[in-house]
Amino acid sequence: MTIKNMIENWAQFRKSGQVGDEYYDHADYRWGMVIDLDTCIGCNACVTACYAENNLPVVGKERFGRGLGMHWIRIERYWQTGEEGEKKTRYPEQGAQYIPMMCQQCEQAPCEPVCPVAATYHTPDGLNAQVYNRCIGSRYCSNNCPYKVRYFNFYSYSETWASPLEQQLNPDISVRDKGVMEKCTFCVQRLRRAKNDAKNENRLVEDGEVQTACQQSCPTQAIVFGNLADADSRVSRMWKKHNMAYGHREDDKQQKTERGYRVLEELNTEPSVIYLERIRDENI
Amino acid sequence: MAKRHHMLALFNNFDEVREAIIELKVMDLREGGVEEMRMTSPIPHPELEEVIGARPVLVQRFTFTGAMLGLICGFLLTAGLAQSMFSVQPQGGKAVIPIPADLIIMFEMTILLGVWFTVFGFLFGARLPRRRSHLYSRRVGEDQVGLLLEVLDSHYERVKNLLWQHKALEVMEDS
Amino acid sequence: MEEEIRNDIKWAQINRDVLHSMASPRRSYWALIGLCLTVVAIGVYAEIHQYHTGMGEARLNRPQMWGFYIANFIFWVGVSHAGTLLSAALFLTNTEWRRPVYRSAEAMTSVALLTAAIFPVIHLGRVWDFYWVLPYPNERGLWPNFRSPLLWDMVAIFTYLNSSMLFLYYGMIPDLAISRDNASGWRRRLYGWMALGWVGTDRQWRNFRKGYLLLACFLLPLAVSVHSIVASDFAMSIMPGWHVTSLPPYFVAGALYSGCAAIITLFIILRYTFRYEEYLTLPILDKLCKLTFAIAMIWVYLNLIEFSSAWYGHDMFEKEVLIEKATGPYAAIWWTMIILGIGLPFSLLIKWVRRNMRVLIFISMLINITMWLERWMIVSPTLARNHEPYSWGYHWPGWVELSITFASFAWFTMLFLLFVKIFPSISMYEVKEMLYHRRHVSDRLLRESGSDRPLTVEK
Repeated sequence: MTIKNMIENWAQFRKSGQVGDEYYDHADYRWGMVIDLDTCIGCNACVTACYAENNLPVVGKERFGRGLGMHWIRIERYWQTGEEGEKKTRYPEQGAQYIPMMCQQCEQAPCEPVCPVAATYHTPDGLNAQVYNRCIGSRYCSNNCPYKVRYFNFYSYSETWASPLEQQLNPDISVRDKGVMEKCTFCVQRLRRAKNDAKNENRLVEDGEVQTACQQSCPTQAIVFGNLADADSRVSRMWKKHNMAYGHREDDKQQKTERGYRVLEELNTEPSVIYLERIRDENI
Repeated sequence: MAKRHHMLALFNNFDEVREAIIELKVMDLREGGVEEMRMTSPIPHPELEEVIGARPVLVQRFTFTGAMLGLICGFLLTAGLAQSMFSVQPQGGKAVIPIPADLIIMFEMTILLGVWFTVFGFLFGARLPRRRSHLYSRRVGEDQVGLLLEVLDSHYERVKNLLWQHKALEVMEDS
Repeated sequence: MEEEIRNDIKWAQINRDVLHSMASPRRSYWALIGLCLTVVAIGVYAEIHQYHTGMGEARLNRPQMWGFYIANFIFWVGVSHAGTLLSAALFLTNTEWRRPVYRSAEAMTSVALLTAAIFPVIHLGRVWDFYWVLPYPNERGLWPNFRSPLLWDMVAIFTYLNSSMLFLYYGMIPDLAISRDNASGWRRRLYGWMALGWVGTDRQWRNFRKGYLLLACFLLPLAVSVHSIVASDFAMSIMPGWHVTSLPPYFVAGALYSGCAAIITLFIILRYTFRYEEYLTLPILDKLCKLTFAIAMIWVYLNLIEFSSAWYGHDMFEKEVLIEKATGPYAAIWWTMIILGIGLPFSLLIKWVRRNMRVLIFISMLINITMWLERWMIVSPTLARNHEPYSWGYHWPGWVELSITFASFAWFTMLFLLFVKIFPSISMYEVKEMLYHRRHVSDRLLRESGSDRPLTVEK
């Protein structure tokens, strides 16, 4: 019974769930990512790939202008402006700076506990999962997401794929209807297939065996994806090289070559995506 | 078994009914005869209830039981459901059984069951709902005070006289 | 000038006056009901349209996931607060002037809650699945998530709706018995059923008093907790301008503020329509105004606390939100809210205003509009200036949201109108009790001073 179960597993159920005291201690996988902003050229190939892979609807100009776009990954552009009276920008030759922004798959995700029906939760491999079928569309998760990377189906977009466009839909993933929240999944359908294949062969997924769509399409290979639980994976080595880890603070940096940072890390969301700073003139 | 008379006497105000109650009480203490005495009034009158003979009110026990039940149910509900999910869900750096969140549900459930049990306690204590007896006058809801009596046959006439002496406006009977 | 409730008013007269208010509605009553129904129908049409087309029709967008619906929700929960909280608090403090006003105030609570409860449902993207937030056993092993402040909200609102309606009904049982005795036809059946056979014996009264006291003790902390929990929807998030420690008391103060203003509005309307001049007297109105002023000052204080904590805390994001409120596209609304919200209660310090019902009804309605704006200014500016500059954006309502908002006011009015025609809107037995005790005290004083005045208490 549940009471017996509760007493037996009390210590487990009371694990705070914060980094270092997690419920899933010995999981084989923990998916993580590195995005090198120095190589990112802001070409939007990743965005296009994401649209194709994840059956994202194209909402049209008018609705996009109203802020209803469904791009799970977006290239944010920022221009550096100086104070009044100073030179307008510090690096005028650099123009805009890009940052590809998608769900950061936070370890301590603010979006998860606020869902009234538990439609979003933390998977053993460290993903921030969204269960479309369970979602009732209270939109609290999006409000509480500091990165604003959760996208809501404000309309039914099934007409977007007028025949024969529906032929290009990815059969591995559902098409969401109106009233449901959705977001980047690290291409969970690919992860699932890779894990299943590996399991059939009695092994773990090898490094580089699975790629996310955005990573796959990046012409400059700015995106690195892999298993953080595997200390030898490329993504683990890059995290280590830049002195990044869960619980890490930007103050912990030792040398200038460590370029890693996480967006809005002061909010203690512990994202699984790290960004490598752009190398600036002053760094050289 | 001796024959009993049920009657309802209506009085103009509490002061008159008070005199009647005291006299009936004295008579009853001396020689018995009044089996049951109840006052019905448009407003509560705690002092006169004392005179009639207040009985303990048990509503608060219901309330306490309900509140405690709510507290426990609140915890069992939250903690139980958290671990009965099809997959136990740790979320956003929060434990599967998060005490601070559960406390809030426990608080609300305490009040919810406390309130319901209080109402049940009142219904139990006041013996409601029930059919209204024929001995009732709508004037009681307005401005008159009634005295409901159950009298033995032997004392019937005396009680009746006593009521009239104390300016009873009307005496209704239902035997 | 009008005075306190007369001591020599006959008890039978009280019954007649109150029962008269429930009798045969005039034509204007039906006209008003018809108007309300029309507006509600437009709202229902808007909701059906939104249901078919999608939430996008509410003109929400990515940073602005919550808009008017949630603002309306907070507003109506707020309005609901004054009734029960004041009724319970004034009961526990044995305040005499509570007795004639509390019934209509509690009715306002229940009716406002019935209005508020609509909004969390219709703001859902998948309305048809709203029951998934209820913990009902199901074969899929799916349960709601009690970590979510929305679930606390659901539990709190459910508890509050239950408790305040029970409190209202419970306090009405003796009056329902009176109504039963004086009614015929369907009303007699309804009141007879609801009065549960109440005849007012000492046993019934004894249990009734105790139960009422216990209920009042529960309702006081409950009412405070309910709006704190509504505030938790915001305070428990990590958004700048929402994640504020003082938000729960701020919500409670704001709720009482708008609720008191709503009580004043309804007080004046009831007094005028039902000719309740004998019961809803000007001295009571005067006290209500003073109470509103006192609560308004708490609200003002908590406002200032909120600004200064943003300022002193030097949190970049929070300061940004505050500056956005004061200078961004919402500035006009925000400043209107601040200036009116702080300025209007001071007018209640003027005796002429407190006695002038035309001015007072205008002021109390304006306060409520201000407080409605305040709720909107809690929801939208924070989302407009969230942590992520790339996702900044604004929300302006479309016709769907506006119709549903107006419909909620019509719905509230309609329910309240139905209540006052079906149920006694002034507590008859409590007014009698008040008069009795007043006379009792004065008679005893006279007796002690050796007066030869008759001792009997007239009714």
